[in-house]
Amino acid sequence: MPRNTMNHTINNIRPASVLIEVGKRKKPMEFFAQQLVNGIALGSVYALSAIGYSLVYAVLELINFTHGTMYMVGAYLFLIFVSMCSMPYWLSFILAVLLTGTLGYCIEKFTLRPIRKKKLPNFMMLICTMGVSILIQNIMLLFLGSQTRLYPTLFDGRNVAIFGANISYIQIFVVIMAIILMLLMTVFIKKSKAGMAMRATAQNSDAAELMGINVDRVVGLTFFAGAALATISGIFSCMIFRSINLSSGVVIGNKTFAATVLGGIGELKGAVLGGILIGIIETFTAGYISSNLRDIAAFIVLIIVLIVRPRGLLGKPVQKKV
Amino acid sequence: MSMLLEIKGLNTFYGNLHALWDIDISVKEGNIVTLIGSNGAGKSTLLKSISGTVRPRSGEIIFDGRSIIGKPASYIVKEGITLSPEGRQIFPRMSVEENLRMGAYTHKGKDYSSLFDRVFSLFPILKERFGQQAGTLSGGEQQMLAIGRALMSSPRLLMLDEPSLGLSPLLTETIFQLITEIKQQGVTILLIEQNAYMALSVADYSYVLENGRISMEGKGSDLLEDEKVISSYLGGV
Repeated sequence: MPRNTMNHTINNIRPASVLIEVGKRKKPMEFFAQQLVNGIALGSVYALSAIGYSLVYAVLELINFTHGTMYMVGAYLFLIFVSMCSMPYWLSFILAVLLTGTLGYCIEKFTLRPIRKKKLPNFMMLICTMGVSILIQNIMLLFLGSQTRLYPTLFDGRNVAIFGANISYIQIFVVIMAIILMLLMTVFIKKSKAGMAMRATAQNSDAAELMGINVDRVVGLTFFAGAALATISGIFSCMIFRSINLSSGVVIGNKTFAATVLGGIGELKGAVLGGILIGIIETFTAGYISSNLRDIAAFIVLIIVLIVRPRGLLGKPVQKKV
Repeated sequence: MSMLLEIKGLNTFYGNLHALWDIDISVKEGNIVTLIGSNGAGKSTLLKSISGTVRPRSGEIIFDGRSIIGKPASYIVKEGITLSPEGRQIFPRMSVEENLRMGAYTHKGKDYSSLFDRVFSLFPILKERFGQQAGTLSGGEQQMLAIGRALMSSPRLLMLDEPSLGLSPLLTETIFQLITEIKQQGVTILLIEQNAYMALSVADYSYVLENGRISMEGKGSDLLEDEKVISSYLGGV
């Protein structure tokens, strides 16, 4: 395991596109299975990110541009803790999640809450998140540089062959962790008092306030959860790709947006479905058409869905009775 | 009996708009007090000022001997004042049970059964609809849910903003019967109502609001016979 990866960039890493080139020499069925496995692994990472995105949207009706940035900040923090501070993985993971969550909380408290309190239009918060994320990205660029770095991974990149598809241990690990986290989030949102308060605030924040719910605290908690999920997603996906680059935060932010809207924004199940679909669409486009198109595919599907079914696959129409 | 709620010289603004002018109101413990007045007279603003969702600019609000003016809404619910807002404002994509649980958000402890029982004894229909999504209830059932939800916080002062809005005359009568029943359980009630006749007949004491000022006050039965009230609010019958 390389420990001091912060100090040099790596040329001999195998990005995902190389994996796919290798895959092309396989038989059709095996190739298909390989794409599917890669797609599900990538998709479960997107799904985690999309849940956080969707939570924030549900509570504030806000397109949160800091989400992709939180993904980057969290993933880099993990890298810094592991390679510069030589901390164990589990501790680096927990610290990165907590610190980034706190950053998300602070962004809400110090930049968005004042806008909310003055009852200014919602788009101002959106522009504010754009500004904050540009600021953070440039601070990171200043200190970390723009080069691609090798990212620590688990299980030394070992893999197993099932039905001719090479499944790496890290992919299996990530999918299992993602499923556990999604189940935990679902239970939290459905059953816990804080989760119920989140849903109540999302459905009617004025009424939630009248119940004695501290709406500011709920919104803060939601931002914490959103940033924490973005971090987990960021660490896992960098572990799969074994590399990290500052610009991928922006791309991930956009793809998470695509996944959330595809599944139905504000719906937890929708975020999971949308994330996995975007992951599969992306790897299949890369595998069967061209890896240059992989980033475009998600958005083409998004545009089609928005034309055919604007509320997304699992989105519910707004229900109001007067 | 002593005064549970006392408001003195309350002024509330929306930006530059002076919505409430030097309001003085007292609510006796165990009474039903009603506020009547036309649209835009400031009735809802007054209840929002008390519940902490709108910040008054000046004046005093004393609840049970303690000043609560300018305190956040969550604090005021804990003090024992709950507002059931205009237009019901239930949580449409939560079940009836979850709506009621949210009403008891400030309740300490895990045992909700006595709170549920009290609501079910007043509104048996909510027991039947326990697991149903609140958005699918009828208008009358939603109103009952809104009042039931407010009662879940065990308030000493229950404020109701237009509980008969959009309901049939028959249902309106049912709701008002239930309101007097809630009063008999010892809850003090401050009520806003468009249906002035109904409001005055259940009220122990009433205030008439006009353009943000109190223009008249008196016992409900006295106001029902007042000529000015009859011509302005009771259709001149």
